Amino acid sequence: MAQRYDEHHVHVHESPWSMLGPLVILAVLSIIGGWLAAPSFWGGEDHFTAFLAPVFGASHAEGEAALSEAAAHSLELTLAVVAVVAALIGLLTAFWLYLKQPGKPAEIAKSLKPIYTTLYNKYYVDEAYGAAIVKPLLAISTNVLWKIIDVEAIDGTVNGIAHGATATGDVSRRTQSGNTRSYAVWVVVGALTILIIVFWPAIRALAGGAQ
Amino acid sequence: MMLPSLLTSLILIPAVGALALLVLRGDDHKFIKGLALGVSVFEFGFSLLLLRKMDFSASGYQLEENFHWISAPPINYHLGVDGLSVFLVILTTFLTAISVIASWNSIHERIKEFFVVLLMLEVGIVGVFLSLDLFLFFLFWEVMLIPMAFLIGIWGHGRKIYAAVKFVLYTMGGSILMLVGIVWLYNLTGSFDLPFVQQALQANPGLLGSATPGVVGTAELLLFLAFFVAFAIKVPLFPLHTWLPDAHVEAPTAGSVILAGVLLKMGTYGMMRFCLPLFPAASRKAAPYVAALAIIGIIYGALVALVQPNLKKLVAYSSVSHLGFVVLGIFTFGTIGMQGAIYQMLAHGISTGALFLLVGMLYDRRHTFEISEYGGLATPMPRLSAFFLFAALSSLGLPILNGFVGEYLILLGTYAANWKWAAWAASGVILSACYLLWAYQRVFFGEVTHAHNKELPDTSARERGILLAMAAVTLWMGVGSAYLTRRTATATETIRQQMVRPGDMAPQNAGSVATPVYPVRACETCSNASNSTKSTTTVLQVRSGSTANPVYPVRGCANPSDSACSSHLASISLERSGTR
Repeated sequence: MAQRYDEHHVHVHESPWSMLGPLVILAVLSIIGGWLAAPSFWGGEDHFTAFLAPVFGASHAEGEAALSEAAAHSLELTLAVVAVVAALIGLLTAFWLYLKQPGKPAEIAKSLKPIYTTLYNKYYVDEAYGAAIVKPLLAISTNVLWKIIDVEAIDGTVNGIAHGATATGDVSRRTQSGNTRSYAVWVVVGALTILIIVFWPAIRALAGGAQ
Repeated sequence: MMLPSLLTSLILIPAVGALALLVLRGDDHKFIKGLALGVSVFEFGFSLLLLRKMDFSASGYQLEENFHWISAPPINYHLGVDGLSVFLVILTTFLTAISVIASWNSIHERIKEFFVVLLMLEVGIVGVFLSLDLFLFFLFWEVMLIPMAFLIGIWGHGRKIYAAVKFVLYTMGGSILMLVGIVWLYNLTGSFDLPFVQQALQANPGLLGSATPGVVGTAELLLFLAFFVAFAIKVPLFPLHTWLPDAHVEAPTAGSVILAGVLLKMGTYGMMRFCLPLFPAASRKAAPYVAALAIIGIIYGALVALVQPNLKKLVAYSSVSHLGFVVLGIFTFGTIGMQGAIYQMLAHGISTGALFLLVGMLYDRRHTFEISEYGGLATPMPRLSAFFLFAALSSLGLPILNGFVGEYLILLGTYAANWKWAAWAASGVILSACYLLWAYQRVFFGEVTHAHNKELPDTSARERGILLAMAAVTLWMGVGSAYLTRRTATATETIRQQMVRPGDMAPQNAGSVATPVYPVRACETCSNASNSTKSTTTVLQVRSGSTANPVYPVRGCANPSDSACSSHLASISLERSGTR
């Protein structure tokens, strides 16, 4: 279906059939769904309950028995009437406001400004979530979890160990100067250290004997 | 040509392919790519043979190949496969073939070497999953590091050398601990053979420092830690994960796919194959701490992924989160949790592999990973956007796709073990939807934000081919999960069975709905097999003429509730202590 952009179609236009089709199917199905249980009002079978019976089993049947058949039906009927009436009122109001009196909604919006803006903004639920949860979560994740804990603390430790190894090597490589005389000194120092360690008991015994 | 045997061939085919590539002239790029593709596809097809040859109802290893290799110390070339490793092998061969195709046009230099390295990587990974000798396992574990380091260091982007060196050193730091553990185990049992070592430790818990059931010996705890840390680095478990984002971001697409798809699973595979069956008491003792780290990883990884400005880093951190689930599932020790862990390993390999492929395709077109450089891409490239959404939905665990099955099973199993863990972990599922869908919205929805993105070409036939393959597997795993879970069930039960020690209480069956069947080995002394499922048939070798104390593992009755058998066990252990 070719898209047409002549001036008659610039404003509100009918949806394409790719969207209308599914809507029609859903509408038909919802009518069928609504009338499934209806026969029980005039003594017929409640097809919906019968359909669900294998799922809910005995417990449901007990609950049903506790509520008398008549009371259950009058309650259901009341609810159905209330729902239908509410829907019709909404339908009529919309019809009156937007088709019969197109200027009216703007007037009402003006006179009831605070209520209108609150409703228009869906009671600010999204904004409340945004301020209370989303923003703090993003801020904490970015500034604490990622940049401080992950990059600085954890990865800093990992890289720190690597740097530590390099630094240790940097220091200890200075002992390997290639200078023969300094090596000779190290050999003497090492030999003395070993001698002292080996003869330490004897040295202590001598010192003890002298006292 | 006579093939030596199935498992050896699986290791040899890519090795021979790599060698063949190596001796060829490097200037005929088409031929090189074609050969690499042929080898990797053949290898994948060959690995599917495993499914035909294996009996998934039998416990223990199958298609075993055991050849004498080194006599002192006794190291064998011992391969085997079971329900846990078989699917990881197939995942490896599948993703390698996919990676070869994915690299078709995105590698421009040293093309021959690239495919040689890719095939060598496959050799190492398949070897890790098939090895049943501790030394051989360690060998392949290390062999795998080298090609991966080259992949990152040569064909990577940006700070590639830094990332490659960090990857190698970090992993090696862990594997040194494991090497110490392997040598220690050899000193205790006189063998490197995994089934033998496992049975020796199971029959003689006293070897690990404590013969009293429920008390963890120091040796066992240290050995557990040596293996566990090596595996935890690989997984990676928080807080050992920082090599991962670097390696992923700098690696070429094929490297990232293999890294996320299979390499990380080597860690979780090791936990299931070594930590639990060899050191069950230590595993149980460590479980609360491991679970805590896993849960921190799940939530922390998700939160950090949420705020990444770099798309590839986002997917990398999501792996930290998803692998946390796997570790959590393993350390519930329950059938369902462990089954879920195996499933999640495979599912993550596919879905994250697909995400990395897609991110790589974006990079091929724009040479950037910055999310802010994209926006509104669904207009110029509707097909790539559709595939991306599919991969993102599977990664965040949408029912009927593969991610859901694994995460659901893990959460179910965790709930049975400890409902608080499950509650915390479940928040990770919500967060994964947050970071993936938010990233998706910023990259693909809305108006095209950068003029030069308007002309980006949509997927080519080659790209569509690999993406379709990935999507098909994703969907199949999501709806046909029973195919896999049925085949991994025996392996899971075998691991649970291997955790039982003489004198233990009957194993807590956390997270199992149906009454489980424990394959119980027949007690050799009283031949009282209450449940004669196939007993493990490893021939127990006695090592003679060695300086270490020879150990004779006793095939005790693994059914502690059977009083006749427990008395046998008691008398056996008395005899043993008397002779020592």
